[in-house]
Amino acid sequence: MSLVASVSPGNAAQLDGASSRAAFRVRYRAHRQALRRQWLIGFIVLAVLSLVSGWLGEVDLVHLWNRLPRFGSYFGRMVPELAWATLWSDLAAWYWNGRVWLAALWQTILIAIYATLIGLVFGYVGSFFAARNLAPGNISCFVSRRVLEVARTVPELVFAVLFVYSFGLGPLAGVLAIGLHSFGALGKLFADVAENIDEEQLKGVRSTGAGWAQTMVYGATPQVLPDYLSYGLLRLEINVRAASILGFVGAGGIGQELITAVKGFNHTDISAISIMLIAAVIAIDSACAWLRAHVIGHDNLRAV
Amino acid sequence: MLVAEKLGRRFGATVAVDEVSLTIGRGEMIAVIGRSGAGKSTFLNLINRLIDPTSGALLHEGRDIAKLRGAELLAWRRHAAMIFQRFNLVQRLDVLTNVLTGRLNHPPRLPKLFGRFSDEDRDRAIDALHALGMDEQALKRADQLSGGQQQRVAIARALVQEPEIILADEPVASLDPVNSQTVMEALRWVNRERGITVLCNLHSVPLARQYCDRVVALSAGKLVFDGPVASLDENDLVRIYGSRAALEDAL
Repeated sequence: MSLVASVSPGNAAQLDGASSRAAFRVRYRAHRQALRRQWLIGFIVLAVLSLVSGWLGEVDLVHLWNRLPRFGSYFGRMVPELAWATLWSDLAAWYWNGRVWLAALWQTILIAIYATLIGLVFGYVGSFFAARNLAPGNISCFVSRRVLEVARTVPELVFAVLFVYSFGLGPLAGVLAIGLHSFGALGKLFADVAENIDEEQLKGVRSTGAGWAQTMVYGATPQVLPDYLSYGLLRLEINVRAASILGFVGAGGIGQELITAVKGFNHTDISAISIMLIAAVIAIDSACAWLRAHVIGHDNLRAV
Repeated sequence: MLVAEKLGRRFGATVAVDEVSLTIGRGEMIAVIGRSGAGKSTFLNLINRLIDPTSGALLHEGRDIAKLRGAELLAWRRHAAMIFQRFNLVQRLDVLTNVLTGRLNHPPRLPKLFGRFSDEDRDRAIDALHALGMDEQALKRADQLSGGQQQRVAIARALVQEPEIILADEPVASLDPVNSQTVMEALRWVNRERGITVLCNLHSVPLARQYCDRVVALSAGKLVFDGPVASLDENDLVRIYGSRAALEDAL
């Protein structure tokens, strides 16, 4: 300080600036080094963990490499024999069971639609009990959140197995299984949406002497409905995919045909069914996306 | 007649409304003035019971409103209609449905849960809208209206409740001067022509003088003035607003 004090004020400022910059450069270098060290340690830890988990999980890269051609040849066997000259008869032979498969696919889509409706209706009601700002009481909030958690944590297939066991083979078990899972997933999403609504509008309805259910219908529903429908359509897409494998456990839909083909080594049947399924999923995905963008974007809600 | 007896509300350590005692006669039009944070809004919310009091009593025809619960509480809210500074209409519902929410507490209540209102309810709603010059807008969505229009719809909603008292919480604070006059005119009309008691929080002393008969003032949650609007003088105002500078803002 005594040195700085002896020079003129302007110089002092310059000197101060230069020395502070130099000091910062040192500090910055140390900071960079520390950061680099942290990254290096993180990388090493990740690498070691990957190797250990690979070893524990019996991942054998050599085996994977040696067997890779088999994966390719499996696909090769799924390709049907198609020739230009006999294209139509070849296609007919490929899709020899097309009528049955189409019916199964339709059933799959219906399972998804009904299941989504169940999820929408119960999720709609459940969300108001589970949203912290709307729930009639803390106990209702806690209980309904736990119920929703269980419903969405258990995989559809597990529910499907349980329902096939209790209600028998067929699409009813599938609808209930996916419906229950959708209820859990949608209820949770809906509750999160409902927690972000404008409380002033709610207060406006409550101030008239409206009861809790009435306040939910007239104060909360108009605010959340577009988001609820949008999530519902998204869920429909997911449910079509989920419904397509339900048949593996006898819960209806095209999965039944697919597992039969896989087990019977009918390779061209597998590809035929898979292509139908992929086409249907793509079609429904685009339809839902279009609906979400065009119908819910600028709707005109009227309750009466 | 509505009598507050040492009515109070505290939020944690802060006392928002501090033992306010007040008698509100039928058909009066009373302005509640005071600085922001003086407890005016809490006081009105206590009367409608959107906020529960922590002390005191609110007597109405021999009943203590402060102790009502369940269906009785809901029925009281319908008798003590509220108007809000931010209008509090459901933005995505049309005007008619917003007004009809004022009929939710009238029996039969179950069909209304599914959107079924009687023709009589709808007639009532349209009459109220017509009286406020808003019937043309009945099928528009609330979010398409201007602030002044929304506030008139909110008054229509209050009217179809068939209330005994209307509690207006800063009804014109979000409006421009012209719309403020329209809304205050509407409130005075409701008071004079329908005989409904109006208790109105105002941040503007001139509006209080212009439209109300009696003035009540709160300062730090306490009642510091209660009298006819003509008796309110400069000294009272300085006392209410704490300083001359704060008073300038209110004038």
